[in-house]
Amino acid sequence: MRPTFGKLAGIGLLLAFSVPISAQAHAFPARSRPRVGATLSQSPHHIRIWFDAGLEGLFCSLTVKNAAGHIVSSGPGHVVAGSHDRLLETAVPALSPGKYHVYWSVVAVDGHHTQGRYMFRINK
Amino acid sequence: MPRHTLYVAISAFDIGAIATVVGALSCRLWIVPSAAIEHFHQRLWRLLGVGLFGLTVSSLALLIGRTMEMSRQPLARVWHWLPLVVHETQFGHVWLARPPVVLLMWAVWLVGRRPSHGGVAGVLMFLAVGIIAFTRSATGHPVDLGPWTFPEWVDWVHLMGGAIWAGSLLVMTFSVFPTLTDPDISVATRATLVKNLSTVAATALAVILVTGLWSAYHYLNQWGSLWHSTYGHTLLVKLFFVLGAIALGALNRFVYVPRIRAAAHNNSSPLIPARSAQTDPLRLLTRSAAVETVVLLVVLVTAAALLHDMPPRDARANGINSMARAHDRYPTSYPRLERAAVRPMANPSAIPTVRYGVLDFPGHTTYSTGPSKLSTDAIPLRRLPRRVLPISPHRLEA
Repeated sequence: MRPTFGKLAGIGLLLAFSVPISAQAHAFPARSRPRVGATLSQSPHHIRIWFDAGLEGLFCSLTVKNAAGHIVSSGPGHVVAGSHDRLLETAVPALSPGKYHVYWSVVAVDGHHTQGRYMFRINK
Repeated sequence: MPRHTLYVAISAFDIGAIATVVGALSCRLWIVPSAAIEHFHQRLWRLLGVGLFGLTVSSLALLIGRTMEMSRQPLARVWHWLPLVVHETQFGHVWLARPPVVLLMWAVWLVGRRPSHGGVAGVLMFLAVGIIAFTRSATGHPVDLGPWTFPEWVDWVHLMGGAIWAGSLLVMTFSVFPTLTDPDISVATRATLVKNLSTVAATALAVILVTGLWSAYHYLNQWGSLWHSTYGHTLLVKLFFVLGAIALGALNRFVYVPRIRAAAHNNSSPLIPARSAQTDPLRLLTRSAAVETVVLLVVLVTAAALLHDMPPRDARANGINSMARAHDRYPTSYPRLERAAVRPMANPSAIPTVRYGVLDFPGHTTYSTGPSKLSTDAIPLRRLPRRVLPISPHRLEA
């Protein structure tokens, strides 16, 4: 018996609707280095945040401030090539012991904006 | 006017223009019987031109609006960003498809003004407006999985189905129904026309229901989010009006259309006699279709509002309450724009989370999902019951 177009379309539709999908519309951090609230024994060279959606590099920024509120990161941050536009990175010089805040602001490929911040420490 | 409202208005205008073009083409290709094409072609083509003009304006407005939304700059500063957005963002790359397609549509529209060319021109324009509609799906919520993914296609089919349904009724109300009672339109032609309209609308509705249900569940994550999120509330308003439109459509299909067809079979005019004008099925159908059109325009606006809301799926996935919106109406500084307004990151409200530190949502009422163990600088916020949006233990990173 030859399958009819209707049956094939039905099976195709069923298969298509059974595909598991996990979409993220707005971009949020998936993980970061250093981690949120981490206490480090030595200064990191870079601050990196991996996001759960593609980013528009044009509208992304990543800055690090010390406890006095001064910017200590070397650059304004950039989306790393080859990361599927999901990794935001900035370089930092050798940081002295203390408390630091990481400020991130991104626009996902769907055009929606999110921003946030977190803290990490460097021990003596 | 709040910026969020402006973005919703631009999206609604763009969808409305797409619906008008799709509706005019649907009427030209599928609804108006060939026997009456000569009679209606000029009117349909004129309205198609109006829709095309709207699409031209909305394409420009969309670029400006989306640039304002992404850059969070006021209109006066947005011009600097336009070329950067066009050349360096995914939205810009997709948007670049619009100008040539719109220009092509204008050329085809000019050629198709003659009724004899209308058929081929209509098919070409339908394909072109399908591309325009896809640029919407490829730059909205569905795009985060990447280009050409299943949610994008579902969104596109849903948009086209909605445009056929709402657009056909809109065009019928403005262009066809007013002259349907002309003496040179035969009773049989009228009956065929309303039957075609009913068939096209019913088919489009079936497509809309399947794709709409899938999309609703996909973005809600769970049906309970209908009651516990801004997105869900907007969706409920949309569903309310969709049900109203379905009820009106059912009235048309199962009451008025059979009466009109019965009148055609009896070879008598469905437009009868002044004394029974109140029950004249064609006039009642015309009135009912006009009301249905208005209801569907409200649906269109709610659909545009959903495009600019945060779906509960994201909120849940990220452990934040979905009453929050991720829009920021305060300008901030960007490394790429020297002349941008440089202001410190605004922080009137924020969400402390265990995983990310603090998420800032300036200008909107936001709630915490639970105590933050790590964000020592978190602003104290009202706590919601954990059952609303719990943060599962595996999310703890530090």
